[in-house]
Parts: sequence; C-alpha cells; structure tokens
Amino acid sequence: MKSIADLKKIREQARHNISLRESGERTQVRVYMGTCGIAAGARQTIAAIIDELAKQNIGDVEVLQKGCIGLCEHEPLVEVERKGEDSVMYGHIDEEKARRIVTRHVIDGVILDEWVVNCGCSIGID
Amino acid sequence: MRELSLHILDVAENSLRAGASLVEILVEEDIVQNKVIIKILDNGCGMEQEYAAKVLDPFITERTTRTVGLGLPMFAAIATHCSGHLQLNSEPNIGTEVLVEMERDNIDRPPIGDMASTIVSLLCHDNPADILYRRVVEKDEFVFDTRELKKQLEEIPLTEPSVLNWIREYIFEKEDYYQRKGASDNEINS
Repeated sequence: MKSIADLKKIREQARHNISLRESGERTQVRVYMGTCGIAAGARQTIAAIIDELAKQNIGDVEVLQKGCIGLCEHEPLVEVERKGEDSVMYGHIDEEKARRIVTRHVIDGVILDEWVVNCGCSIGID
Repeated sequence: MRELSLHILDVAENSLRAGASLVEILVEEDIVQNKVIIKILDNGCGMEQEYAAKVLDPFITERTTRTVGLGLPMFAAIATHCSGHLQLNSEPNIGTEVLVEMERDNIDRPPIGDMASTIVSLLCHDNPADILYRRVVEKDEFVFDTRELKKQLEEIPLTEPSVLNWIREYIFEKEDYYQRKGASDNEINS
C-alpha cells in the first residue's frame, strides 16, 4: 500500500531533477478536455502522457489541460510547444499515440506529421 | 460517457474555470439505501439564479467557441435514467454545488470508474486549485486532500510528472479497495 510518506522520496528525486535543469523555460503539452475531449477519451490520453514522462524521468515538461477550442471532431487533441518553437496540434490522440508523441516530439523534437491537425482550420481535414 | 468519474471530471472543470480555489468532490455509495451520491462543491464565481436555472438546457453555454454545452445536461440525463436527479445550487461570489443522486443497483447506472485519472486531470488545470476528494462506502471513508500533499512536497509542485503519477497510483489503490468492498457488501445484502 502506498502512503503519503512516500512523497518524501519523490520530493527528493524531483529536487534532484530540477537542479539538473538549465533554464526555467519548459516544454508545454496541452491536452484539450472540454466535454467533447473527455467523451473522446482525453483523460486516458493525459494520463498516458504523464505516465510516459514520469517513466522516462522527464521533469521539465508542463502538462496542462485546457477547455474546448471548437475542434471537437478531432478530439482528443494534444498540442506540443517546445521552447522557442511553433506549437503543433495533433488530433485523435489515444494512449499509444500519446506515448509516441512524448518520446518522439517532446523528447527528441521530431514532429509526427501524420497526426498533425492543420492550423486551427477544421474544414477539409480527414 | 461510460463512467460517472468522467461526468465528475467534466463538471469539476467548470468549477476550476469559475476560479475556485477549493473544489470538494464527494462520491458516496450508500448500500442500505441503495443510493450513489455525488457532490461537487466549489467556491468559484457562482452564477446568477436566472442563469443557473437555464444551465441544464444543452443550448445554453458560456463558451464562445460553440453554442452547445452538454456537460451538465448529460449528467442530469444519466441521473434521471437511474431514478435519480441532479440538483444545482449556485450563488454569485459564493460558489456552486452540483448534487447528484441515483439508484445504486439500477441497471443503467454507470460504474464509478477511474477516479484516480479524473483527479490527476483536474490537477493539470491552469487554475491550481486545491482538491478535497472524499470516497465513502458505508462507514468506510478515504480522504484525499491536496493541501496535505503540498505540506509533504514543500516547494515541489503537484504538477511534476513523477508526483502526478504517484497520486494516480495512490488513489487507484484506494479505489480498488472500495470497489471490491462495494461488491462484497452487495453480496452480503442480497
């Protein structure tokens, strides 16, 4: 059984990781979780992203959940913004794709073109 | 949405958007009275009575990105299907309370579902509100309070991936216990 006391160990590890970071700026991963996103499975998507980051011991990434932006038909939506780069919006991201986005884009910096939703325009995609 | 925990996530998100600094979530199973009780209480901006009366209408929403709001209406529909109801109490500048009751053994009642992922998702919101989650089955109670966690974590934020992952596993373990307890109490009662 886990207990609140375990947090001490996690705290020490997190402190160690934070001290290794060079700059204060962080990559942001945004998961859109309005009613549409939630119904499409965004909760499992965000949980997979957090799990993958934790497993790979990546601390300098901020995972944020956001509301509906009107692209409901492409949910679950995941947006990645690496510091100093344009943000990229991905559509229909399930747990497996989410883990791949963490490994390839968030960590390695390679955009996964096949899952990108174009420029906020929801007409004519798919 | 196939789990009550998904509806809870959806409604509690409204609380965070309303600028709440504390969101209280109760999930209770009363086996003797055959009820599931869910309460989401916040100290956010609240709503005028006139607006609160209309918010269960799917064609009313505050968002400008689209013109339908399905969160509360869907939750209300599920409650009604299960011989229950959804009640909304709101007061401007004080907060909002959503109270749902439904028949526990109703064939249409969705499972409680993955509350651990629901709580973790809420913690990733822009609004870093505290969350007090209470899970009750009969006289057994599990309390999760982010204010307690923050004391342990000191300057490390709750949103650190390793912390979030620990929280999910921690709540998941407790939920598992309560789910099994709910199932075994059922057998004793029947």
